[in-house]
Order: sequence, then C-alpha cells, then structure tokens
Amino acid sequence: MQRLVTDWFFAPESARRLATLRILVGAYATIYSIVRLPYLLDSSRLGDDRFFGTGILTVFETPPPAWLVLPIGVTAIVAGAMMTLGWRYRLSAPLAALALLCTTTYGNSWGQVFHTENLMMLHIVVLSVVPAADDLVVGKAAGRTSHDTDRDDRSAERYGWPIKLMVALMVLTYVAAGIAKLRIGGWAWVDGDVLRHQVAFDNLRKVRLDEIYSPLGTWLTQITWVWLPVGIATLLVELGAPVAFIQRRIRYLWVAAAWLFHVGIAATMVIAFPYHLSAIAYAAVLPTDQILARAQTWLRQRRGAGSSADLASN
Amino acid sequence: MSRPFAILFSGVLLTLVAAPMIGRATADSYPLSSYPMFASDRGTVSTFYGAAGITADGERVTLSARSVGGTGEIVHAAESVRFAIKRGSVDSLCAEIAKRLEGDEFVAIEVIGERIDALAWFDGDEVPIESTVYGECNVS
Repeated sequence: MQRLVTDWFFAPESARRLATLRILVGAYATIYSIVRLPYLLDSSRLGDDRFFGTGILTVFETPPPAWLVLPIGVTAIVAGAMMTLGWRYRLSAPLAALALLCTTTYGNSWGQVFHTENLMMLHIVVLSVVPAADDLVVGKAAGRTSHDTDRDDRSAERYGWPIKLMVALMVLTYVAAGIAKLRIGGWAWVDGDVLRHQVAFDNLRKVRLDEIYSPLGTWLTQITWVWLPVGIATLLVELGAPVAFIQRRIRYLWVAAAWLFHVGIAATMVIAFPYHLSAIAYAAVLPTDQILARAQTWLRQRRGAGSSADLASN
Repeated sequence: MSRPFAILFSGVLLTLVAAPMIGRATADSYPLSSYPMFASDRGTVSTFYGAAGITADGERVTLSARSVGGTGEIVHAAESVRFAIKRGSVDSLCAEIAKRLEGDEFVAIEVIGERIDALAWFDGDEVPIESTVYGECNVS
C-alpha cells in the first residue's frame, strides 16, 4: 500500500504541466489581489473595535497599522505578477505567498471569514516552494528547464508531487466541509431542511441590507421536496471528493459536479466562489499542459490559415 | 528538490489542513478552517441585524451593507452590528454609520435587530415578529 501511494505521489510529470498551474493560479491570485485592494483599504478605515484577528493575526488585539495595508497589497500584486511570469521565481513566489497570506488574513479579520479564499491561498503556498518556473518563463525559450542535464524520470518527479499535493488539498477542503455538516448538523442535515433554512436566511439577510438577493433561491425555499435531493447531492460532492484521486473519467465527472455545485450556490444565494467557478481550483486534476498544447496548435492553424488567405488575396 | 523535503512539506501542510476536522466543529480560522458554513440548522426564525436611515419626514429606509459595515460585504455588515451589540459599542457604530451618510437625505440612524421568520417572509408575510432598536444617533 505504502509503495502504491509513493509511486502515485512521486509519479513523474512534465515541467510544463506544473508551469501552467503556476500561470493559472498566479494570474488568478494577482487579479484577485487587485480586485480586493479597495476592500482592504475600506477595512483599514474601520474602528479598532471592529477587528477580530484570525489566522496569523489572532495574536493581535488591535489591527496592524493602516498605513501597511497599501504597500503590502501592492507587494502582493507585483510579486504575484512576477510569480505568474516566472520572473526571479525563487524570490517572487515566496514573497507573493507571504504578501497574499498577510492581505487575505487581514481581510478575514473584520468579523467575516471568506471561505472563498482558503484553497487559493493553499495552492499559492505549494507553488511558492516548488520548481514551477522551469518552463513557460518570460525571457526563456519554452521547454528549457533549469535541470536540463538531469532529465530522467526521477528528476521529473519534482514536477509531479506538487500537483498531487494541490489535488489532495482541494479534496481535503471539500471533505472538511462535508464532515463539518455532519458534525454540526448531524444526519438531519441530509433531509434538506437545514440547507433550505440557510438559503432563506442568507437571502433575507441580503434583503434586510438592501443588497441583491436570489429570486430563484427564495422561490425554491417554498418548494419543500427540492431540498432532500439537493442536500444529498451536496454531501455526495463534498464527501465524495476523494474520487478525484482515481480513474480519469470519474475524476472529470466529479469536477463537473463540484463546479455545478458552486453554480448552484451562486444561483440560489448570490454567493460566488470565483476560484472554483473559474475552474482554476480544479486545474490540478485537469490536463492543463495538453489543453495548452491544443490551444497553441489551434492558434497556429488559425494564423496559418490567415496567412494563406492573405497570400491568396494578394 | 528531494523526496524527504516533499514528504515533510506535504505531510505538514496536509496535517494542518486536516486538523480542524477533529477540533471544535464550529471553530473557524484562515486559511485553515473546519468550513462550518451552512452546517448548522438556523431554524426558520432568526435575528437579522442592520440599520435604518430616518428621513426628515419620518420615512425609514433600509441601509445598504456598505453604509452599515463600511466595506460593502454583507456578512461583515451584519456581523458588525451583532458584535457592536454584544460588545456594548452600538453608539460608536451608529456614529460611524452617521458619518458615512453625512450629506444624504437622513436626519437620524437606527441600529436594529429584527426577529423574522425567513420562510414566511418569502411566502409573503413580510412583517418582523419583533423589532428592536439598539441605538439611535443623529446625522449632522
């Protein structure tokens, strides 16, 4: 069994596949940091009594100085962009991870924990310490790695295990959410009433704060029978996440189900999990290097067709 | 990058992420969480926290999350009111909201909590079971 796990975990992978993950997750985190900066600046103007330190800020009773927010926020953006491009990776990637951890933790320390950020942060932590910039790096020829002299299968395992770890972290976050439902709500959670009450509560909270709510979600709360299958499907997706480790077709089916689960959350509660909805959360289980190769071939063919058409018209 | 490093790093990270699953179920943190959202049964009746702006002719207007919490985040706004009530700092929150709304149509702000049957509300019964004003302040 141990041999099986070791062989699976250390199975060789291409530098390109890990590099595509770096680009996808890095670009997402960078854009996310830009989008969230106004929220962080708004938070920095709140009174000290509104601060509830979480994570690495738990030890703080008052918020860190407000003037730090902008420089750390900008660092997260700049280092994130450098990480995405693979530029000075050994410096930029850990710096991006540290700055992102600081900014997101700060943002989570005002009475609301955004569970939409956890997996992105964990994936960035993994990418920040692995050789994810051995391919697809700005200024370097594609396909050249820093280990060109050592190209046997064992050397390529360095690109494989980080991908497996990213998958394992994704699976764990889903399983944890499923287990929390059973630990807190018990098996009664499955009958759908808990979820129905949550959807009604969440939408009414939006109504009472004059915000956009989901007419679909509020309409569905009036239809009792819907919630039993929805409750079962939710737990199947969350507790069934470990199937992402097994056969490819089942894995893709689970990814589709998990993605639809987040579409459902957005449609019934106007709560967006952008990392998941963009499918970047699932990129580690998808053949991103093959998708990139196909996209490149398609682009080349299009350019070729365009050039031929230009020549013909001349 | 050696196998021992890979095993150590992966083992530590996976243990940290899995640990909240065996800790207190409702404990929440970041980036390590037990993901307790949507897990507890709230029942049909809950207290909804927010604030209302009072106009010169006495009209009560529900204030937005940005006006109440200062950030535009909905849960954050509701939690700000709930924590202010719990910590006894409603007056300070009310003054903060009033300051944000200076120059608007409001002459006063009320920080409120309303007990409402959410399912009944969306079935057309849009009347709170109980409404409590926790604090009031004027808008200059």
